Amino acid sequence: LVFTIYITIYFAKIKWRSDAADSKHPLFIKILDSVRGSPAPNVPVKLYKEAADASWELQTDDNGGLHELTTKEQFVAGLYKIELDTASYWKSLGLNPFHHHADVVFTANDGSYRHYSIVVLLSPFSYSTTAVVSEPVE
Amino acid sequence: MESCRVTPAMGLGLSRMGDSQARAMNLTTHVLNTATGLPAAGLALSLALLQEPGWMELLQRCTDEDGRCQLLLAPGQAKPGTYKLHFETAAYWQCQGHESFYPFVEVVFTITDPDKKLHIPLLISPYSYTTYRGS
Repeated sequence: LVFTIYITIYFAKIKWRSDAADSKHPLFIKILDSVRGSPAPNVPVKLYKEAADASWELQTDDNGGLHELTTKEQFVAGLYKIELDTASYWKSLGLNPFHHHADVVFTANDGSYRHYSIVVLLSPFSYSTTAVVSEPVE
Repeated sequence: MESCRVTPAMGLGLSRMGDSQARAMNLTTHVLNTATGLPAAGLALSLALLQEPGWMELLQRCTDEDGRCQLLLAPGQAKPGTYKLHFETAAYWQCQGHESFYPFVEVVFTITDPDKKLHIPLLISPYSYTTYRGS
């Protein structure tokens, strides 16, 4: 019985991810679906940095979250654009949305290094976004 | 794009009203400052059409005293496609004496029927914004 409990706790711990940026993952995206009252999983997310050839493309996980867009080393000061392929998300649910995609553009780490959590709330004919910027706790 | 000084007639498109018989797209927007609960007046914006690989800018306007703007496209310009409204929000917030998170806000949307009137409001606060298809 003790052995069973230990395994359960172990799996719970590795599945749990905080809903925020942290020192390893300084840019965190959270996407929510306001029609279903749920996270929005599998939304393709692209991160662009101005004047850089690099762009990174990943997808939100089952909890609508994405921690791995960048790392502390890559996340230098500059102008960034997050592009969410929201149209694909709604179409996969059989809905025809208004917006072609949702962009969030911001200047990061201008002055000093910070953590950014970007939350996006989606509807087929609306979206809302907010940013939480925090000082890293080292 | 520079920020605008507001005059009452600024929100209206400057296109000739004689073309109103022909198919022309009527797009309106309304920008509200949700931190103050007041319209965002004198906010510069532009409309562009996606023409791969880039965007073709069609109009530049400013919101009026009521935070509203009407963008009229001439019949030749109004076609189904992907459009982008670009709002110079940082310049606006700077005039208000606020820092803000976003250098600008862009709303990219699809028009299938240019004949239908389209209203796209934008609600802004320094660290957040909301946009929707209104009526």
